[in-house]
Amino acid sequence: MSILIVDDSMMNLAYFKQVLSEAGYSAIETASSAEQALERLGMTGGRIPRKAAAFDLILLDIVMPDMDGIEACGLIKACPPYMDLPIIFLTSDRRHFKEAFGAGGIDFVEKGAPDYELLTRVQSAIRFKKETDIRKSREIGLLKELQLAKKVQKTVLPSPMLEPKIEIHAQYIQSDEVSGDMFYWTRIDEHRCGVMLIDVAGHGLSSALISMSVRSLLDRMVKRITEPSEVCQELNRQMFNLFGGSRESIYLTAIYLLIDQKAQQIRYFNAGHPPGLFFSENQKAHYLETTGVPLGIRKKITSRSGICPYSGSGKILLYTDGLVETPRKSISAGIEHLENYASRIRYLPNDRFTEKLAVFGQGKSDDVCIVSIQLND
Amino acid sequence: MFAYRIDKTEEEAVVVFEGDLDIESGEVLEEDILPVVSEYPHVRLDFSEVYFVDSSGIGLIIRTVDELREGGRLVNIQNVRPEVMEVFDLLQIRDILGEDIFE
Repeated sequence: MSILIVDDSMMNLAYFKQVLSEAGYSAIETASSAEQALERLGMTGGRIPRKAAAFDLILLDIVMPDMDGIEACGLIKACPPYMDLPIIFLTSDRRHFKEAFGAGGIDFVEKGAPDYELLTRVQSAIRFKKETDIRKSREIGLLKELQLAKKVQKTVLPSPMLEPKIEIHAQYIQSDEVSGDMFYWTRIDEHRCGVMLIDVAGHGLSSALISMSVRSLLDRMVKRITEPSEVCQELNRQMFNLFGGSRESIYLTAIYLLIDQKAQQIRYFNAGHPPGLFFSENQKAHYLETTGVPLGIRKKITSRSGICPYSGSGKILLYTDGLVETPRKSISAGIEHLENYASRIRYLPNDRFTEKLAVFGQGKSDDVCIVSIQLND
Repeated sequence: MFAYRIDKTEEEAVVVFEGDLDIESGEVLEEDILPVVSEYPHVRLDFSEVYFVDSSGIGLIIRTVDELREGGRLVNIQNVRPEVMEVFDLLQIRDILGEDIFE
């Protein structure tokens, strides 16, 4: 515990130092002017030190020649490394109080007051500083962990699929560091691809944990089962096995497309997810609408595959509700708004198309995921 | 913001929610509302003053209805605003809780 005492009176410095030493505070430094104090803090000439000098508390006299304590306090509190460093004013004149507190002082000690008053105020200021330091370092640690988690989550996302007959691109926008949105695609065989978008209810870390655990099952699942209605059943069964015992309602919405380029057909399931938008040729968007309930809520569900034939080229847009949902507004109006916008820019190259839509979704508080599939002739 | 009021008669309790139903409302629902209304044979959840329900809120509703029904209570949801009903429909609330939930 290190304390810096600043006072232009040598007698005062000696007195305060003695009281604090006798109370067991050993690391005490003194400065006889505000300028000297700033020097100790590495702030000479307006510099901002990279690392804060190791003080836990400053006791600061107000009336001093040259720079006074109030001005010094303002400078110190405005310097980022010292934002949380408590400053207690030493004063014999209550008239200074308003200004002193305005400058960022947390307390004051009246000169001539009994020793216990000084010691009590010093003790509580130092305790507060320690608590703040611990909380700050925890916060920084947690933030680093989250940033690492975000990187980990991103590594499992597939890179764009770029083939002459099919292109898949995605955009991933997270409001927290990590989220429960997840997309996945794979080539199943020579003429079939599987594309999935899932959105775990809720936000942040817990949703991300759930989406990551589900992600680990997908590869095996879609290659072994393929038929969407059965993939849907299996995913529900797995969700229920993993999280059905929880008292929290854990569920996800998902849309999964099995694109068969030879049969020119899309088979899909949509479990409580906003409709996929299929823009084929010059036609109005076809909605890939709900085929069943969200997954993980009910042990037994009925499921069916939706079927959508196609010919020629087209684009399929999948997205999470964050892109179309505005609190207290109609979600179907949001979907229509998206459809109109996407329809206008549907002839853009696929990567540009998703980038534009990401801009469209900016400013939403929810997580947003966008997947676009370009089918070519 | 989330608040509620419970209107009681001998046979039924009507919970009138006010505000947004989201993750924040969970504790209130669980700790304050459920213990009170589970005393009544018939519980009505009134959504006339609810303007937004997010995915966590949907989860809460399902869990609340499930728990009350497990305790043998009759549960209905009433006066849902159109914009909220759209979210209910998208998430297939009728299929999950049964058509009679809105009776």
